[in-house]
Order: sequence, then C-alpha cells, then structure tokens
Amino acid sequence: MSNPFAAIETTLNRVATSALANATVAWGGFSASAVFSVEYAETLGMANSAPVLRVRAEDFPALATGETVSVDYADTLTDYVVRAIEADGTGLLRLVLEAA
Amino acid sequence: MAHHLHRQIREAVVTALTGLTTTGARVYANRLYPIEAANLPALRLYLDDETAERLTLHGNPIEARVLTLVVEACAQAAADLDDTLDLISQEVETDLAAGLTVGGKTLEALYTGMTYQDEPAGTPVGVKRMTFSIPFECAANAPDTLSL
Repeated sequence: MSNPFAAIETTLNRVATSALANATVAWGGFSASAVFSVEYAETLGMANSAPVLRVRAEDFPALATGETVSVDYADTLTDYVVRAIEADGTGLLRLVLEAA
Repeated sequence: MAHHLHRQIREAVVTALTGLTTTGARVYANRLYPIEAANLPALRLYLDDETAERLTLHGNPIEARVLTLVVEACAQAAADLDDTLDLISQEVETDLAAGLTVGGKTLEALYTGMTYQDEPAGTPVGVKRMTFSIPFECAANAPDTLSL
C-alpha cells in the first residue's frame, strides 16, 4: 500500500530543511542544505560533543556509514565520518557524526 | 597530627604518576567533573575500597589493611585510541612497580587487573581502568602512622 502522505511529507521536509538549515553538506558529487547541531556530551567522564546532521534522504542517495562528509557551518569547513544513519521514516535522515 | 594514611597514600600516588611521558601533569585524584579535551590524555585515580584485619589481640590492635587503588587512563582520539591507552598503562604499571614512598617507608602497589571501556562520540573516548592493591599496617587509634 503506498503512503498517502508521501507528497505532503516531501513538501514539508523541503520547506522545513530550507527554513531551518544552518549548514551546507557535501559528499561525493552531492551537496545540500542541512540542519547541523553540536551538542555537549559527557562520555566516560570526559567532556565531548555529539555532532548531528539532519538531511533529506533524497539529497544523499546511497550515503553509507563510514563515508566522510564535509560540513560548512559558521564559516568553518569540517570533515566528519558518518557513524550512524537514522531514518525517521518520513524522508529525513539523522546522521550521527564523528571527527574525521 | 599527620593526615590519614589514605590521604598520604593518595598524595604519594599523585606524586609518583605526575610527569609520565604521555600524561604529564594531567593527574586527577577523585575528579568529580568531566575532564576537558585540552586536558587529555590524563590519569584519574581513586582509593576505591579497603579491607582490614586485626593482627594483634591486645587493646588498640594493629590492623593489616589492603587498600584498592584505581588508576584510570583516559584518552580521546579519532585514531589509535587503544594504542594510546595501552602506552599509558605501560607507563603507569612500570612506575608503580617501584612502590610508593609514604612516611619514609616504601609501600607496594600490586597490580591486580584492568577493565576497558570505550564510547563513540564527536571524538571517540576510552578508559583503561587499572587496579592495584596496597597493603599496609597501622594501629587502630593511629590511622595516620604506618606501623613497622
């Protein structure tokens, strides 16, 4: 059974990503706007960070864990390795990143 | 009155482990708050527990105590994390094998094992937790003085 909300989800994802995007992501021949966050995280008693990207799945077809993406955020270009890809089922991906 | 032997031993451990090649001055006793990335790699140490056994029958007995010392090698690295932690533990074990100077006497710090933990994050982190037993004796009413 096809998703009756697919068209709405696609439109909403495009609008939301455009409105909330604060970074540009490049991987292979693909580039797109994304929502990037680097929250503080404490790991085993050490101060750390939890960088995460939210992108549209259609912008990065075939992106796999272990790939390196370049994130242009706040006028700084940084490479990250994609450690986990979490699909939300509506066309958006949450990419868990690690310093390259 | 001198400090409790626990404090004297803890300070002796800090002294012994300060200045090692990989961790330098970054030795933290009973650290409660997260260590910043700029202060890594580092050592955290704790006196985790102690057992005591009465050696004499008279009043104010002499007690044989065994203190458990925990030394945690902490590192944060995108590559070679295991290698870094192994190197730190090599330096720690080698240094503590010489014993600790407390109250003018040398106490043994006997290696009893280790556990390892790592965690993914913005930069992966790892902790290699080494445990040591430190046996010593003192009178029940003088936990600040080593017995002969």
